[in-house]
Amino acid sequence: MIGPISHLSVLRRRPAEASPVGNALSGPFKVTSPCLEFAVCSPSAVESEQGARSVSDKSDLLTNNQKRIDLAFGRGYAHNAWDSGQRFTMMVEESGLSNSVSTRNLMRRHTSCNLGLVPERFGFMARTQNDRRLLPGGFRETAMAMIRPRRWHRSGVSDGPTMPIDVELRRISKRFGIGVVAVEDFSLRIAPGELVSLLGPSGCGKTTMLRIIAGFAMPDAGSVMFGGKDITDEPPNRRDVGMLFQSYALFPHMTVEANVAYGLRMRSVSKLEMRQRVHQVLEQVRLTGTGQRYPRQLSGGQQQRVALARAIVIRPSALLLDEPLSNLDAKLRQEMRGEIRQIQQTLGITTIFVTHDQEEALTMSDRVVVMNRGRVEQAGAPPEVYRTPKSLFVAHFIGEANIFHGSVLGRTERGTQLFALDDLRLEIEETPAVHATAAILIRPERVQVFVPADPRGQAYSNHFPGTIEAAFYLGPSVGLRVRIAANVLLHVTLPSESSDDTFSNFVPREGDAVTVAWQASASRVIPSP
Amino acid sequence: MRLPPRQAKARRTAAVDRTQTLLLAPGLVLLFGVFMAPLCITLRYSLNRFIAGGSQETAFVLDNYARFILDPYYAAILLRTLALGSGVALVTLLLGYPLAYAIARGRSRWRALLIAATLIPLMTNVVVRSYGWMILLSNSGVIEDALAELGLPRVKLLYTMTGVVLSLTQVMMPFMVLTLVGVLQNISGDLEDAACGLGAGRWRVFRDVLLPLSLPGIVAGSFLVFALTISAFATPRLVGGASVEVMATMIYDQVLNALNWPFASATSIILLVIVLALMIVQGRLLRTRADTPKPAA
Repeated sequence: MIGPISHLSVLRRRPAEASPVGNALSGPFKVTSPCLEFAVCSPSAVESEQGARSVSDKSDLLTNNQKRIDLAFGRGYAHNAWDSGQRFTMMVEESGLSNSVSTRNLMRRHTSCNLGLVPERFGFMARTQNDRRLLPGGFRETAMAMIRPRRWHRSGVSDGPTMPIDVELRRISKRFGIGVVAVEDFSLRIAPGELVSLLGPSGCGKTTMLRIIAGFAMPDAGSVMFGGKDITDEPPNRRDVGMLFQSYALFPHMTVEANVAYGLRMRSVSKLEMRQRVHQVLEQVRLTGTGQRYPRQLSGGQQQRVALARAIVIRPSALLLDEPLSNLDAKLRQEMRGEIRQIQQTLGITTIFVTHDQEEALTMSDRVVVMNRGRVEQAGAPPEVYRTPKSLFVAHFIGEANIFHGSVLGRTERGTQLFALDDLRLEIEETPAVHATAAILIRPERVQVFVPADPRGQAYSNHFPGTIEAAFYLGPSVGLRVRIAANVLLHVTLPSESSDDTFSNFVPREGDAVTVAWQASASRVIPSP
Repeated sequence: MRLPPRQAKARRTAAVDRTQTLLLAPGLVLLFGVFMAPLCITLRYSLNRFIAGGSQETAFVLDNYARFILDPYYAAILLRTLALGSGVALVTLLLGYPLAYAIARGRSRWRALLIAATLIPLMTNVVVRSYGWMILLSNSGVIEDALAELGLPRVKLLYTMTGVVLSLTQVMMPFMVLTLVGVLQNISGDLEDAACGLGAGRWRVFRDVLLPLSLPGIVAGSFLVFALTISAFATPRLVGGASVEVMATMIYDQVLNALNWPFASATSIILLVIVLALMIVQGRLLRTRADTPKPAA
């Protein structure tokens, strides 16, 4: 008995070992990438039309001493396996098959199935996985399954059920030519199933980083780990990643269906399964019925969904998105944001998203990694990065910011500190060293605006008279530039239709005198580097 | 006096038309006077009857064509010419594709160097290049000596088909490479990356993405090289000598040695028809491809 096995695969058998599977399995097992493709012995599925088709589809691969084994095809998680010389049996949690699979029948009728000779250059892989989150519909039945000898593809990419893995980048550096630093000492760990965005201005190295993860670029130093395995030296075609290109990179000479099926073809998936999976994924991206069209006959948004379908249909270990939304118009972009995020969540794929659009990064990601000049400036959940930027660069890059440089004077009796900005004295909450020069950040939406006579302004710990220098209407909000000192211009954002009457009946106009006010807690001290 | 707008516009249009005609005129004169007219004369000559001694008798007979088609000697020349064309097209394709790919995908410094290396032969006269090849290929020439040094058997190259293919390959290479570069440059590198990322190895990327997308270039380049090769004269004459007789050299001999202008004309027309037929086939091939969807912008 081998089991419970953790990772198991028979890789390639040498001619001398050309023996029944059972014997082959008694050899040493090697840990490989997560993959399991197996055949479930399923009389009820065979009785159905679909099952019959799948059997005829694959009968050439699987014979049992010239006797055909009734099989249907599915995928799932093996959690136990044993080897009794001639027989290899595993316990599998069934996940992909239709409900017509009757597991009890399976156990009764097919426990004594043998596998025939496994042809040379064929192999199969199996892996257990305790993570059950991904099984759709809470399908928990245990099925007796047999491993199907899976055609061992030249490129060796696995095609398994989506099992989120972690991606780790260790101290990666990459230079182009002499002295042009693209990525410098970049380290990041992306948790299984997490969506992390790499955010930064153009030329900050985010796309280079993505290409390194995909394998299209080699790092000069550092390593890329997928699920704890170092794949730095693996070529892209063995990495099992799905990539969505900015240009979509759809094959123009292939139909939508052929585009989507391409990755499956490379994995030698059976024709029937290919059809089913392509159909399913096109449904998932709401493109049913476009399968026979060519990419140029589709709109930009549709093309992008095809590219997404092509990337996820292979159930990759990691999904890489390179500015996927930048070629779409604003409305469609918003829609696709939600759609991509939703699909990513459903599939639970570890995803790395490259963008220069901070809004995109904030709305879609579990974690935002702000990059500048090839380095990580800050990594954190979207609110964290927005509220507590660790550097001036991050404060500037994400959202609108009022940033003031001045010095900290000392404590006030209210437990706050006093900050000198030219002639103004601001109350701030955080406490850097006294007399230290520092920068503070005040987000425009934290500032309130009152007409000068309004007494409510006095209730704020910071309140200053000022003059509106510019006002512009943005739809949901109004942007103001208020001068509160000769050198201090404050950016303020107000809701254009306010429910409370902070600014009721007052349409801000250029030249108006106002009082701007904010609490000490609204300001953040940005640590100087 | 001001004209009403419509008349003014009409006047402008007329002026534009006149300018266009004037600009076209030199080209048209050249095309008809120097190209089409001699071609018609050649066609007419091909129907005349040859009188031994170098003159011809005006007639409307197909004797010359019949002679070409019925005499196996000329059929052999035709076949040899077509084989030469196909061979050179194939060799330039096989050698030129990787070169064109390197140019289309290469970094700028290498690119410039490779393009220069491809173009420089075009700037040398083909006769000069052919004499160069004669020196290289001749008995106890550079190549033979090099083979002998390596202990390989001496191969006769000068005045053989192999030698002609070899030198014509060099002559035709730029045409193939430049045609392919144009097509390969328009295939986004992202497509190759995408295929590779989906699990395709190098060969699959080539077979599934590059090859089908560069097929128009392959067709155009091959047909171009083929057409240029079967009408090539200088190289087959100099490198091939009398033993590799092709259509062009045969026509030359008929004109200058046998003084049989009607037969030379007929042969020329046959060669022309073959090239025209190929152009039509190529046009058809490319048009059917153009009907299938083009890459999205």
